[in-house]
Amino acid sequence: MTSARVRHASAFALALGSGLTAATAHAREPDQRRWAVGLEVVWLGVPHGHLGFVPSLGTSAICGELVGRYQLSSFAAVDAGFGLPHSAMGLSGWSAFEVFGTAVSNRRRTLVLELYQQTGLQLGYAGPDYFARHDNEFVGYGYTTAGPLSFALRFPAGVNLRWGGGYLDIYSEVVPIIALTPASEVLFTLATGIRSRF
Amino acid sequence: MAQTSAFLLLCAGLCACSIDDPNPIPPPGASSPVDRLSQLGIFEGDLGLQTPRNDFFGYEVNVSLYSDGASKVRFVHVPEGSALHATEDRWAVPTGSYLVKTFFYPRDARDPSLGRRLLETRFLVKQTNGYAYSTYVWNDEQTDAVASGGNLDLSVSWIDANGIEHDGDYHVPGLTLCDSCHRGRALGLRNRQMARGEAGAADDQIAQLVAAGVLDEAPEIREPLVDPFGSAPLDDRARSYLDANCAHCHARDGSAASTKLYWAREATDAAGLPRCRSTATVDGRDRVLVPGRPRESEFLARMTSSDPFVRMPRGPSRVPDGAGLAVLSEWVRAMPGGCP
Repeated sequence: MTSARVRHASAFALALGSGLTAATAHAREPDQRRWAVGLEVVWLGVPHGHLGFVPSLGTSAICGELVGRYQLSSFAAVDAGFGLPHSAMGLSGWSAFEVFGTAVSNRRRTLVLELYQQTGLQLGYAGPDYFARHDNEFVGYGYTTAGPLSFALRFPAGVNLRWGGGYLDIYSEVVPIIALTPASEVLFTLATGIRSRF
Repeated sequence: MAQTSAFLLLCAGLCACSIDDPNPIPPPGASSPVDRLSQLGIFEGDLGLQTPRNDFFGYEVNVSLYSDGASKVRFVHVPEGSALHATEDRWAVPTGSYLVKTFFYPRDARDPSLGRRLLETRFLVKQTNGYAYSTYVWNDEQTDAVASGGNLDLSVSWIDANGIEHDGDYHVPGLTLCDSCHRGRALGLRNRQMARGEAGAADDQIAQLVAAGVLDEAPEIREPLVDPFGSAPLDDRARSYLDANCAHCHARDGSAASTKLYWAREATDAAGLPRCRSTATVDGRDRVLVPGRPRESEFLARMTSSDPFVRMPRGPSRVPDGAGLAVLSEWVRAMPGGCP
């Protein structure tokens, strides 16, 4: 039964990842799959942001970004992302150093629950919400990909579940972002992502 | 090392992208853009008096778009040998035309002799493929204006006709916002806006434009917009306000067409109104227009929203139009019914 479930999950992972990636991954033990790429959905931003899908007016938009991870050791990794890291910030890229630890796992380590914390730098556009927050103005969505730059520190912390035979990560995290430019301010958001490991 | 390089590459890529840079325009008939309004040569004598040279024609519209209470003076220039042409409503503008609008606040609206504070002079220059948008922001001395990309605040202080003092900032919108409303069109050059004065009388603006050769022929005028704060019937005033302030986006060819809410005068008759239509909730209101209940009508809530992404008209305005809101509230209150 367990074996059948694992095979099913593996097939799902293969469908998500590229053929080459999956073929390579087959040959590795779960802990040896150091690389991971995926998608992250960013939601429940505070302060409210307007970039992305707005489920209803007055709530923060849901946005997302591409993410990647490289596992350096049994407790450290580097992460990167590109997209909208918060619905109230413009297009940005970030990179972070991550420490993680296993909370619980099965013997083959194909099912692992990890806790992690990242410390990173983020650089991107302040975005049109910056002007809405600070100047009470709508300046246009063009400021999503242009305009003043925002340099920020980010300290996400969350929980990651390695599953699907060790091919997939699904994680959820709370992301405090301390923007230093163009103005000092603190933003929070939740993020949930899925990554394919190879 | 690779991580650092990637981060620096990201920095370089991001820094290269600017927005709302000044877009200086050339004087009529010339090709080299100039940075100062005085170099454009369209005003004679003291620039602050806004006296145009003789091939720039001053005009007014029936209902001005609300801009945080700012007043405006307007001028149009058409190249020699060409003229504006009125269609069923919107006017065709020949290539090479200049549309000029200067925004200002009176120092004290009760006493014109105290002068005015000029804020910015905007230009729409008709080109073969649409309009070039530009603005020149006035200096504190009121002696000249300099090409600007906008998205900046000017500190202002003025007194309105009721003697109320206003202190705050006037926001010059960024040039990137121009096209979100204009979309290659001049908003004021329409039959319903330009038909002013009594037909055939000395103040007939259409006749003046034809006589000056700016307009090729007088169009047939149907239902010009009326002053929303004048003495016309309430329904006319409210629909005129909506037409002038909302319909440039909320039209079938406007940027808000996807909302399927159309506020042009002909779309807001009894049959066309979005009565009781469900919509995204704004401050607890989830019906666009609830007859008899202005406080439950979402479209009115948008006019006072504190969220600039929600507030209407969308754009640079910060201060809700209290007078406009009063007219529309009265209009909704007078409608019989309610919503089930």
